[in-house]
Amino acid sequence: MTITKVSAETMRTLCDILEDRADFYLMLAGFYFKPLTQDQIDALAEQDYTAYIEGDSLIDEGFDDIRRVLRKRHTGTRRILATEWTSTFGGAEAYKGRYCVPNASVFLDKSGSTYGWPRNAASRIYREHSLRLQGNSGMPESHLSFELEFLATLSREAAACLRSGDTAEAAALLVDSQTFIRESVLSWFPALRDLALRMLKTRFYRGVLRITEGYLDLDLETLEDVLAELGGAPICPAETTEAAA
Amino acid sequence: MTDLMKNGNPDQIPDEPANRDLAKPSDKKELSFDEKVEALDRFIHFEPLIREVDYKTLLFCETRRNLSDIEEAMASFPEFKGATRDQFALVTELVDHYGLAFFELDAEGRVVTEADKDGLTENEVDDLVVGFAYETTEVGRAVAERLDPHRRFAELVEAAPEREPLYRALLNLLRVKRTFAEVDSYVRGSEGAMVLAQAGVGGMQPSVFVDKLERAGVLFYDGGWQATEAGIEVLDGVRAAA
Repeated sequence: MTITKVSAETMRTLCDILEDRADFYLMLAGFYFKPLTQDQIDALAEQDYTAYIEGDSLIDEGFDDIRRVLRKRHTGTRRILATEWTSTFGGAEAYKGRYCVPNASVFLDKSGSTYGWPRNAASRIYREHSLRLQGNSGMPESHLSFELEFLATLSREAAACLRSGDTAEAAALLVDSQTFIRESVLSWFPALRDLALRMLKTRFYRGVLRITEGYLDLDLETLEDVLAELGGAPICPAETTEAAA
Repeated sequence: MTDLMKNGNPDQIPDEPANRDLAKPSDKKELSFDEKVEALDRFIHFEPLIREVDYKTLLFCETRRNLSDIEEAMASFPEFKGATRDQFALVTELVDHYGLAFFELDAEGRVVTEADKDGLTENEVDDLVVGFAYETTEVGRAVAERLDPHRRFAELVEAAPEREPLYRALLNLLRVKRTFAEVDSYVRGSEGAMVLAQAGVGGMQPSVFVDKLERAGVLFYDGGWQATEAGIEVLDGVRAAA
């Protein structure tokens, strides 16, 4: 049997992938946390969406939705998007008695309560990774923005482990990420998406939902690929030093 | 007067305002022209903070304007500083209250009609419509005529002719920006009291005079009270060219 070392270049690539994952999850988390500010809208409008125009994946379609809304933005855009967010994700409106606050507890707990068993489950998972919400978060642990931020945190920690040469811990974090995506996010996100699409009036947050769903599915594949790269391969100590530098 | 007659070309079909697909109460009856004028007039007067902004917007849009130009113009109105919502909200309200017609434009600036959208996908419609424009309706023109500050001031004077000297004295005082305290002192002080005595009135608070002149569109507040351009015209007996 030939043992293959993970090259320093591959390690850097994997770290970049994990850092990019973290950034992307934080961006998604921000969409669900609160309405966008004017500065955020302007920054989004300045992004280059060329790569997404011709594609047909959910992520491509989602960014195209965002691009189309923002290219026609005007003085009322921030207010309209804020109203859309507040009505749907803020719980100000209901659809046939159902609220669309992006909180796993609302969708999975039979009573639809905000602090049901899914919140306790998420809180336990965070504690297992020595994480907890700041005291003034104002929302439960099972809120989608916190679940996405958790995935970002695990991704950065995994990158840090790789740089320090601890591939076993990095792999464990990525396996935990896969489990969390499947069991704690995708277990209820489709229901959120279906209800939100009945309530949303603009394309912007429809696009956000598409990007989120597309990225979660893609990320499971990405994690498989990264784990395959890490699987059973030791790192050359010299390269470890270089990677950690 | 319809657009056809105004343009002098009976073959020219008026541009069709875009279907806003707004949810409207199913039992809402179609209003007559006069009812729409009253509805728009009542709406504009309902909020003093946006009254003059709405009036100036109706004037600005007597020629069809692009949304971005309207937003920029509205932001330049001194009264816009006190507006409680963004320009797009104010323009949309004027559309909803019959004052403005809304048009969707293609890349060549032509009006896009509902027929143009038939059979197109959502993305194709989005690519077809590249801009928005607005134009004052006949209802809007009728209300703008009522809101002309010269007319409003004349109605103010007609209602209480004895107050005209003090109105004019205040406008003259407010050719430059002054605090309300200065206005109050003037009205209560010797010069103001003399004007009041000459006019045969007394006992009214200075704030009443300021309020009435503001509602007539000849005074505005921007960190202090000041005569509007129309107020200066009234004072000087001139009128800006249309």
